[in-house]
Amino acid sequence: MVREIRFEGRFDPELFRDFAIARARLLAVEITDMSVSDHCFSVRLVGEEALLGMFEMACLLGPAGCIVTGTESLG
Amino acid sequence: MTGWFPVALTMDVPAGTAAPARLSGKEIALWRGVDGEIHAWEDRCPHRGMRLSFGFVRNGNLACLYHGWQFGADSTCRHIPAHPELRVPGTIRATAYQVQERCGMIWVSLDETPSLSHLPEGEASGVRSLLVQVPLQTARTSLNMEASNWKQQDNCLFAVHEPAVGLTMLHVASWTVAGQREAARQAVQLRDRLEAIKETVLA
Repeated sequence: MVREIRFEGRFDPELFRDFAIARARLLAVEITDMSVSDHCFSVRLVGEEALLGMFEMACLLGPAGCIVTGTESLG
Repeated sequence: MTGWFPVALTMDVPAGTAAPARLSGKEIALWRGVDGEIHAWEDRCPHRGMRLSFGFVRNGNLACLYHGWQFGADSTCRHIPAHPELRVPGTIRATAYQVQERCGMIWVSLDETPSLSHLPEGEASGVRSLLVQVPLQTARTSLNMEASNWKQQDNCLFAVHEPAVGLTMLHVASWTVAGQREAARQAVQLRDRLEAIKETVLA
C-alpha cells in the first residue's frame, strides 16, 4: 500500500527527518520520497496498512522539541 | 564500559516475571520465561518507550504493559493486539544485551561478544544485594577487584556493579547453605567499611 502524509507544525527539520527514518526502519516501512522544513514534513510511504498507520501516529507525537499542529493523509 | 557486571541475584527474577535493573545509568529489563531462561533487554518498548520491566510474561513472550505488544525470547515482536492479523516485521524488536547466570547472579555485558572466561564458575547461591554509597572504582580498589568485578573469598563470592554514577551495588553469594548467614554478615560489614572510608575522605 502507498500513502502520502503531510504534517504541519514547528519542526527541527534534521531531528524530525532522523526520527521518521528510524521509525520507518523499525516498522519496515519504505520511504520513497520525503521533504522537511521548519513548518512542513511530507512523506511518501510504501508498506502494510497497519504499519503505515503506526508510522503516522508516531510522527504525530514526533520527537521532543517538534510539535505537529495538523496532518493530511492522501491515499 | 566493558566486561560482565552482576546486576541482580538469580532469585530476584523468578520464572514468569520481569524486573528492572540499572547498569551505569542504563535501564535494563530482566525477565525470565516459564522455561527458566533469563533475558536482559533495554528497558524500553520500541513502540512507545514504556518500561518493558513493567510488563508481563505471557506465552513465553514479554508483553508491554502499555499496548500489549509481545516480544519473544529472541527479542522480536511476535504479536500486536491492536492488529491481530498483522504479520509483524522482524525489524520491530527490543534491544537485547548479553546475559549469563553464574553463581546465583545475573550477569550482563553491554559488549556484543564478551568473553565468558571472565565470569566466575560454580554452584553458588545468591544471598543478598546491598547498595553502597561509594563510587564503583572505590569499591573495587578497596575489595582488591582490580581485574574484574568480583572476587571469591572463602566460601563467599562478592561482586559489584554501578547502577548509577557514584553508587555501587554489592552482591553476595555463598557456595554453602551453612555459609549464607556469614556471607550476609560480611556483606553488611563491607558496606559499612566502604561507606566509612568515604566519610573519612570527605571529612
